[in-house]
Amino acid sequence: MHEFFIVQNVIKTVEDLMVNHPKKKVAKAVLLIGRFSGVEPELLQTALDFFKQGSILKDAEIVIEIEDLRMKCQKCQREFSKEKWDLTCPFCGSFETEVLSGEEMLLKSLELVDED
Amino acid sequence: MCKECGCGLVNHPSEGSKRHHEHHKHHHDHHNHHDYHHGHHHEHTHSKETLQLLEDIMKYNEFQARHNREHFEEYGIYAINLMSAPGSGKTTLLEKTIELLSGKLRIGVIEGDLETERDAERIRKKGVPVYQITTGSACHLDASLIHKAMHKLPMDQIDLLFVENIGNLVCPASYDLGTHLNVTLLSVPEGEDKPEKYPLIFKVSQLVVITKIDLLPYFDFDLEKVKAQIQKINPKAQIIALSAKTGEGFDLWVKFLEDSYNQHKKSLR
Repeated sequence: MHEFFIVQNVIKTVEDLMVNHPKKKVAKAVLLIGRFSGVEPELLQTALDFFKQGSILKDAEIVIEIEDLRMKCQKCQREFSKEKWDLTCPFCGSFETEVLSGEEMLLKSLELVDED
Repeated sequence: MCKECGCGLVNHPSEGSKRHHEHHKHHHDHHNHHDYHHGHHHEHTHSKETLQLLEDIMKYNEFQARHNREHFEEYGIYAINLMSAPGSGKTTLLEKTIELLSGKLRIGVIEGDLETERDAERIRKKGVPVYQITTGSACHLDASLIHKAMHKLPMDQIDLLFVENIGNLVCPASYDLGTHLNVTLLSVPEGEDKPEKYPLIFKVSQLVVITKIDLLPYFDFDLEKVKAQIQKINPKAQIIALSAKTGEGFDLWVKFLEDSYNQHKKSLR
């Protein structure tokens, strides 16, 4: 359900950006979705492919790139990835870790071509 | 100017966008990045061009959330977003909190539900201003719904504003409402595995309230284990365990609210 709201936001974001690019249409949109962004990439892909009909993205190929959870320990300075959301450093056990990626929900790029 | 209320507060989309970009640039140096409003990185191949953006998809909600926060601060309100699964005891917690803070802090409530005014009715009986949002089928509240609701409340007569979010451990976690504090409730009968199963909501909460602890003898719910699990997900989260039935732990909750409110007031001065 929640994926539909994300789709609306994606379309609105693209509409706002395309104001500066008249006579162009979107051929491809690349999204960068963190594994822990709160949205399921597969469901989002399905929702986008469905709801793009009749929108500014109707002719666009939608690509979702998934960003893994990467963290850095402030104590031992080491970087690591995690499959689960657990902020403990696997090397020194510290909780003082910083999330580098894995939470994002971004429109990474748009490929534009001339309108037919 | 704010269209909804004519309040003179302005949304600054570009600012929010920049803030996010800077944050992201820090971690994504490998991406070709240009500022939102000042041209993007263009790769021209005849009629084809690629815009490198890294544009935050949630930015519209973020602008609105910031706008809401400005409103709250204008009125000196400390706003709290209460989240949990259905039936964890959000409304009961509120009823009891209203009683205990009566004469100390003035409370207001925004109720979020799919259907019915039932929760709002329960709060209204306690004699505090309440506004009910019914979302129909929407699984979460967002910042724009809160904005509409807050203008229906007597903002100048409220110190603590509670937002009772839709009962759901998934979607509400993704939406900043502009409140100052996120609180997630976890009731004993729900089971000790919930933080591990739904980490995101615990990740965004500064306080976790474990409710219905009078039921601990009847359930396989190891309080210490749950606390350790929450710490792994969100080391900074505070945890309070209480029971609305026996009143145990409510002294800690009330003190937490009073301290948070006083600290907030001081920071606004």
